[in-house]
Amino acid sequence: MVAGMTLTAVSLGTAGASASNSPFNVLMIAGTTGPVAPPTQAEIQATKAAASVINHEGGIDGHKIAVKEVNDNLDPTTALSELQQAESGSAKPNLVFAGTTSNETLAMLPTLTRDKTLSMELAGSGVFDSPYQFALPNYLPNQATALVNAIKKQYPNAKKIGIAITNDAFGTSLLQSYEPAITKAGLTYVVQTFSDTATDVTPELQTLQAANPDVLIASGYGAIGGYIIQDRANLGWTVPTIGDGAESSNDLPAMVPASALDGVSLIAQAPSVYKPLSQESKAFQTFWKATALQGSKFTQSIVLYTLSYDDLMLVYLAAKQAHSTSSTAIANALEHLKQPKVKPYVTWSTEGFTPKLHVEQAPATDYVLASAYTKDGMALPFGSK
Amino acid sequence: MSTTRGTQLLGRAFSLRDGESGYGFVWPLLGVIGLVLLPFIGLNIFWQTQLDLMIVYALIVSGVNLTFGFAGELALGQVAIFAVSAYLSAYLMTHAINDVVVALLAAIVAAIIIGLFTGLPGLRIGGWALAMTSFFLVILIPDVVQMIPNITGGTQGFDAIPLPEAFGIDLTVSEMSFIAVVIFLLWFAFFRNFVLSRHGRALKTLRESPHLTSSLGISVLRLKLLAYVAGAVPAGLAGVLFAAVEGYIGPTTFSFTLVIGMIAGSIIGGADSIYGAAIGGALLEYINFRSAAFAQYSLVVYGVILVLGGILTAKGLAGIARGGVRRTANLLPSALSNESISVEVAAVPPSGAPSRQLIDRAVGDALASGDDTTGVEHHLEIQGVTKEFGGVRALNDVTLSARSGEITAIIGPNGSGKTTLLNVIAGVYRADGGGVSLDDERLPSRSHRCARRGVARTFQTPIIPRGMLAWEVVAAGRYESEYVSVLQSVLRSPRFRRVRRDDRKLAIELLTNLGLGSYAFSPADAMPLPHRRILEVARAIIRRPVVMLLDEPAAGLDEGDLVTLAEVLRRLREEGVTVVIVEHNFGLVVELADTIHVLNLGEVVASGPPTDIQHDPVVASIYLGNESSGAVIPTGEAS
Amino acid sequence: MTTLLSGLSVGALFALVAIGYQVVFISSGIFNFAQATLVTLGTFLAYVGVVTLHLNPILTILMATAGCTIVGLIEERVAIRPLSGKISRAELVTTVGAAALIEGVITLIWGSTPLEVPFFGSTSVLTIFGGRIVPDSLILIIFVIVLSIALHVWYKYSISGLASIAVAEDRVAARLRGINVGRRSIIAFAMGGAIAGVAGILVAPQTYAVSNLGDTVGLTAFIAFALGGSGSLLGATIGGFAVGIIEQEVARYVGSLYVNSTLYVVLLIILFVMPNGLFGRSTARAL
Repeated sequence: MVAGMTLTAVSLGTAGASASNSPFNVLMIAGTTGPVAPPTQAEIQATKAAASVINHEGGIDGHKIAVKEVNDNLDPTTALSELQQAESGSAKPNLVFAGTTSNETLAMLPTLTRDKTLSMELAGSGVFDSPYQFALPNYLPNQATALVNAIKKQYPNAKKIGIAITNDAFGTSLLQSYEPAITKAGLTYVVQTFSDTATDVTPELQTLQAANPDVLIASGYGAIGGYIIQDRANLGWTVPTIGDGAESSNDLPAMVPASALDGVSLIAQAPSVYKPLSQESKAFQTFWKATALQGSKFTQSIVLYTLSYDDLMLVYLAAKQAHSTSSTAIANALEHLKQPKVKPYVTWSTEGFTPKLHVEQAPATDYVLASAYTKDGMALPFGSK
Repeated sequence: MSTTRGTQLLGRAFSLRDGESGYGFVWPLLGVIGLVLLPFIGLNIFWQTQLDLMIVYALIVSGVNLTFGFAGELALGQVAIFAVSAYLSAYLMTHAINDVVVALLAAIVAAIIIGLFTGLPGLRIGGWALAMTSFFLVILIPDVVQMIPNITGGTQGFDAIPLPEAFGIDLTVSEMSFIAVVIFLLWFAFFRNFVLSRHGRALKTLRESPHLTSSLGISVLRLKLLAYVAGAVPAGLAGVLFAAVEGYIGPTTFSFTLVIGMIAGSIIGGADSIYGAAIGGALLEYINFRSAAFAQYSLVVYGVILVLGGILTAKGLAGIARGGVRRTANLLPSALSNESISVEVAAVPPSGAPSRQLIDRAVGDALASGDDTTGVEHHLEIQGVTKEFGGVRALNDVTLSARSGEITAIIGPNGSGKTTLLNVIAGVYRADGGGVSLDDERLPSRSHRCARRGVARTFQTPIIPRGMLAWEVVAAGRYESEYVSVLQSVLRSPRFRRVRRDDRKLAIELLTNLGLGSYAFSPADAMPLPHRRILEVARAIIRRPVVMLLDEPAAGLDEGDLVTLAEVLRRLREEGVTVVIVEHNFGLVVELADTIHVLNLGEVVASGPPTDIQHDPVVASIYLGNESSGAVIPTGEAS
Repeated sequence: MTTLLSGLSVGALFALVAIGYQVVFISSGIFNFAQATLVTLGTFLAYVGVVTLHLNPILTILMATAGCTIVGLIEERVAIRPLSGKISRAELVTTVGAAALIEGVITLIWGSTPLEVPFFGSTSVLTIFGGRIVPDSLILIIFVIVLSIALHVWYKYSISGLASIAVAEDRVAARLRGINVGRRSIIAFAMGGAIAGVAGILVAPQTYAVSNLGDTVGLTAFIAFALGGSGSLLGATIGGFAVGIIEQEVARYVGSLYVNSTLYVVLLIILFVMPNGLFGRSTARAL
């Protein structure tokens, strides 16, 4: 936690303009149990923080936001059933956060599209063809380009890249974006995939080691993320290693001994590199305080919080610009969003959504290499501990 | 039509008891009408889908009930079959022919193939090892899905599966539900008729003991394959419905949780029940869905449900319901709760030692009920049979013979090889040397083939399948001799009806004449030991055997039962059956047998008529040397 | 060689779980699905001892062993004993329920984030026969081997162990000979818990204390159990190591996508040739 921060100085909550209108229902269908529970909790806290900030400003086009989260155990079938139950009920959702993984999202998508329900994707693994579906998590091709650029900048002599990555839905999408980016940069690569439930990845790393890459990309969320780094150290392999978006969501220093982190860095979006709070933007300070008020201790990667926070902020902004809460109007406004003078969002880049692309295109220049060590969920600058 | 006849029919229609013919047809009929209407009463999309999913689960669980509940095989590959069928129909509906009928047919074929494949290990291994191999299949699903990502959509899953057509007509969500209901009803009608037929009884027999099954002339191999296929088909149907209703399938759909849900649904609903599968399946779908709502407590809630469900419903909900229904039925006016079965039984005299005439009639009728084979002479020859178990020679060059119209007894101390010899004759064990021939033709060393040659037997410890009525146990003996195909059974063809009537008539008559008439409609496994022995004898007799092997039939019988048994054996002899009896009760043997062979340490040490054996010094010394407690040849029961 | 050693160290975990399955199975005829979850609990209790309470290793082991034993006993009392005398195989459901319950409570107490449990000894990598292995892995491998031999000897030569084997072979006959079958079952679950707990401090440094550890390990340990053959402790151990080595070698030279299918094929082949597993006894009952 940031020392000396005075949360009481800001009063957030239900006070402010009272809206007599029906609430703007935000439904979050996600896995709140199992291995992904902590990041999902982070997303819920940040979304509730955004809702409290927006409600303080008078709500979305005069409607107070009501956030409800339901657990789907990561099961696509349960996710769809939950969605159908909500759509059939009296309090129809105005905005749905559709699933922790893209498996759940894909199961819900036809129903969401048919019912013209605005939805935001938390999984960030792909681009879906639906007029009402938006995804804030960063556009993977750009993220991949950024990663390759960072490698070329930091390790100019690197020719061959090794990739150790999980074979779940997210890992598969990541890999699909890395392959063209690496080839385009004139580099070669070798890949080893493994299950995210493996307890040891020594043989996969040995195979990579035998191919002798100059840089290793490590990608895995949860225990597997730690096993990759630990088994690399046990093999005595000193190859420079970069954790990608999945790997950097782990609190690596808490999982492996310091010696195992030698030569390990992470790719991070510029805003998620640590700065003292006083040096952060006004929007970030509001975000931070509001999320802390939701009880968050920022144990997860800061990106999980900021993206979820921004999701709701963008819908708020779009509804404001469209003067409507209809999904068609908001979707249209999101596709042509005008940048306001005072930005309510934290990481949203300037490129925005387009009618063709409903995924945020944070430019590749937004990404930097950072240390594997973190503070308050934020990566420390490259090389620091 | 007379009023009594009318009342009887009414009583049958509304019957709440599950006799052999199941519940009265009115209750299922009402259920059918309700279910068919359900998709059209304006359910919202949520309940519509819940209904579909409950049907999907019920289908899968019914498959588990067939292989696990009825046949007792722990081949639990249903989730793998479900997955393959879902992917297959998703592929068909998206890329080839978007017709649910085509998909269903394709799924049935696929299910049969995979059902046979996943069951294959079950022909060699059983019990837990079989369970492991089928459990493990579910782990392979994500791997296989990733090996062929172009077909399956890889880890992302198979999305945007369209709602199918039926015969070229686009289906709405409600109409798809209607199709699901129709499939459900057709399958459960099939399931019910299959289980409530001699095939169902054969499966229960298999569950109890493969040895018993093959001793009745039934091929265990064929029966197991039948069980695997029958258990696979509903899982295949479920896969099609699931893909069509959900519109998305992914590797995470087919998880270990689903496997557990399926087993829990089966056990909580009642593994050996028909309608319990529907209840268990529906319940599990709802519990699976609902327990997620407990957020971070969902795993705890799920665990508590499984533990409590498993403990409280050890008999299955169906078992509990049966008890409840029975109690309710007893309160109903007799005209309504009366069963046709009880009418037939009314003529049965009370139990007790049956008269000699009755026994004569019993054996005579049973044996005469088929082709007339009396008067033909038979002879069984055992020539130089040797059998070893792990280096220990249980039988050494045993040669003896038995003729029709005679009772041949084999006696000897414990461990002398009597039962082993019986098992060699019955084809359970293959002799290491020598052989057994019947009428100069070698008997096959496969139990069921041997049985089909006319060898019937009883067991040292009676093997009486649980969950069957006494008359059903006896009728099971007629499975092979009066074979009725699965199709005929399920469609209730005239032949099926005729055979079913004969089965019941013959079995009940036989039991009645043997003094067990009042037990005919009682659970057989709960009968006292002496009656179970007689029951086994009845099951063997109804097969109209040429050779009858009895393994210590007198053990545990009291004086009255012994008289019955002796009477039955004498009568069998008179009918020209070759009777071979292994027995400890020396008194009985001396009284009954025409020839006695004495085995010791796997060798025949004496042969001859009872009077000779009784005074044979070798025989006396064997018994004296063997029994430390007594100095006389035992004439009572020995352990 | 490194792959082989990592196969052994992964295999040690499978063997540990399979030994637990075996101990319970021998004396009660029940397959305890919760065994792998008990191992998971062992790692969390090791975390409590090492990280939270800063206890020394001996006290940590004692605490983890006691804790898992108690949970094993509770499982027996709550999920198994009420079923005794019934033949519905409901233990298939109740032991899975117990596993879910234990994992659920673990998640409620400690959350789902993997927790590091540092090894109490040296962490510098050792080189053996040209292969690399960390000391905690090596000790776990040795521990599992010693444990299986000790248990094997106990079953073979102690009265109590022989009684358990008798129960495994014929419950009715054992009961007739005056063996308290119910008490064997209680002892079995207590032993299963103790085995899971005592190793927690060795397992946790390699896997972390992570709540869903039991899910995958439990399933792969099935294979170890079935390979070795029911009723054989040495079989479970060798089965566990074999599965670990196959898993790592296939991942190294073929690809991790083919690990499970290879294991499955190997299992099928072995069971077709030897229906009772590598070391299982035939349980065919004489008629």
